[in-house]
Amino acid sequence: MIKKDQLDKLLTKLADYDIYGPVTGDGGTLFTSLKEGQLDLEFANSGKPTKGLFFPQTQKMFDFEVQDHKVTGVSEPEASTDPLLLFGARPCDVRAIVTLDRLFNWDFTDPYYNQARDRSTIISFTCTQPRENCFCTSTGGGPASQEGSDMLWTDLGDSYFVESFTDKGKQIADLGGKLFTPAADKAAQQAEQVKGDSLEAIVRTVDIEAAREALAQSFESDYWEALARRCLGCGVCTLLCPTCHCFDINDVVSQGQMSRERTWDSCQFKYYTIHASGHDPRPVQRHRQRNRIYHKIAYMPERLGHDGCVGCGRCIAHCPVNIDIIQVMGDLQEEVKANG
Amino acid sequence: MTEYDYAATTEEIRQTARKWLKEGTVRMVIGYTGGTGPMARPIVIFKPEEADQLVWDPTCIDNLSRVLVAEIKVKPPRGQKPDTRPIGVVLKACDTKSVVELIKENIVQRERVKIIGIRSPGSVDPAKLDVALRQVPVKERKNVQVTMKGGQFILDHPGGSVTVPEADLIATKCQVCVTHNPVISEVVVGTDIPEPVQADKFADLEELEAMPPEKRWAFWQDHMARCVRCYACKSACSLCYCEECVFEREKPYRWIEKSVNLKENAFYHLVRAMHLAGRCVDCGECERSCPVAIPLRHLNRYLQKRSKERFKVFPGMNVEAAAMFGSYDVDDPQGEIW
Repeated sequence: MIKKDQLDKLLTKLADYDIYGPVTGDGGTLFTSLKEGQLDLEFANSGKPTKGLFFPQTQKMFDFEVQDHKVTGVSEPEASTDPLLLFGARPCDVRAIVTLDRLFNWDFTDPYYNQARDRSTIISFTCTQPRENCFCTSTGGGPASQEGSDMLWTDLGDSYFVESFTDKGKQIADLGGKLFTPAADKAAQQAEQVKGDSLEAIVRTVDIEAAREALAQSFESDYWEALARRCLGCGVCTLLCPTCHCFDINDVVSQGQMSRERTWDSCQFKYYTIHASGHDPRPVQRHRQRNRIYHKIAYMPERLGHDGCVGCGRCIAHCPVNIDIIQVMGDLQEEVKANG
Repeated sequence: MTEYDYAATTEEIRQTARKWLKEGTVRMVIGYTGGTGPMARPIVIFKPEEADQLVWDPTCIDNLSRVLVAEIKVKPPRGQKPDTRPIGVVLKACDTKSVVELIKENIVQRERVKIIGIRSPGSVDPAKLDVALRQVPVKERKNVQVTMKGGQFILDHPGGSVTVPEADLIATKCQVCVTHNPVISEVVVGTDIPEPVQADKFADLEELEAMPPEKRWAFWQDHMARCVRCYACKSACSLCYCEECVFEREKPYRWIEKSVNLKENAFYHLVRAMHLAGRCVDCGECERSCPVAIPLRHLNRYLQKRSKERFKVFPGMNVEAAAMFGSYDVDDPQGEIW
């Protein structure tokens, strides 16, 4: 247990950490360094997912110099070794980090992601205000899922019920010392109640297993055409997705400085799959939108053994033309049923 | 003033669409249908019996001329003759202005489009609706029916009803609107609406214009820094129809780096805005589509104001009017340009 009025004291004790927490501004709530903003824990979820902390949208890999058409010097930026604390993350986003952990250690161990990940501790908060498009319970998670978290805090009004699952979590508990007090049985019951209420508050559901089976027969379906008719081809659904991880590597020249960097890319963009020959295996939007759904629901679980969609609902909430992944999964099941 | 009748207008839209599709005078009709949330979404229908899916209510905010442009660009499958019949499209009064510009720019041929123009009293802002919906239980939010009555929005749901003052819910673009009646259309539907007597004075820009330049630049830096470069703003724009967009162009050289940082983001937004100078009709789709709430309409409105002041151009009002950058005038208010 920790009293809410002791939170500031705790954060002071954790001064060695780079702390990132929810900060509300003009663009909604975003996970920001607490050096740059005021912590706001009264939020549903952040506009952008937390993946950017470990996998920044644009990341410099190294600087280089060129003389007489030859690369003469390469220097890598010094990576921070300060411990990093992600404070107040939602369980859905943290489950997405588990997916990314597997992805970035799949056939290649990504040094940039893992470097940031190794120095990080994650404190998630039980999601007490699920939104209308949340469906985490259908994807194997839940508003109080512990998966991937070092600690889980649950809001009990004037205090938080604190659970620690890992050594990193224990370290936070040790640093907090007496600020954390043993919880009474009553508090534990109360926390269970809050978690139960949150679970009840999730209104949308979908049978992902059945959707996956339907997808096996839907690759050439006309449904994708109908969906793509209204798709803008923008990157909202993918860039805001907590598990989307595609990036593009570019050499950037700016004021005489040359560097190689990687930047998030989106499979919804027109030139995402274009080959050097000029051929494009996904020339029109229906191929791109289809790829997104297959990647989330079929390919990622198949390859990584973890959910490709964690049910955060961002792609539904932010899509300007209401392309709704829950509806897509339902429609495909119905279509397959109708076709026998 | 008579109350706006959404049900009757919806019926008029369905009848017209059904008639056109039955006659075969259009090859498809682009319209609105109910979404999975409270907002309506675009739909394209091909058969007369599908006309019953069309709806009209204050949540219909998409500018469907974007879908029209997308359909015009579709090439027929190899070996198939193109269907040259017109495309039917449902357009709010304000959105007919986009088609006026598209006709002027020869992207849409007038005879290749049949418009059901709607007299429109204003749409709800999805972001404001999101806030208002917190008064409605989560379970009921997708079933909310929005109507406007007596200067108020009414959110009806199975468990009750919530009333919200018009100003708290209406899209900001609708607050400065001077086009409640379609500029061009084959059929006009909807209850009569008088236009405001006051011309648009660009009062919404006053605050920003009063700022010293450094402060104004700080304002924009603050907003542009959080851009995710999803390009929803340009993708949602009816007038961003280039086959190859300058921001996507890779050969022979790139105009913009993919890096997401203030420098490239600002370059993107400023170039995008300038490409719309004298063309933008302020449909507001860029700002609505932005997932991180960048106030893009301020840029567009400023360009509108300047084109009106300097060139007497107010886009979207007249198919015959010359395009601002596509014409010159020997009596140019700023003198000779050569």
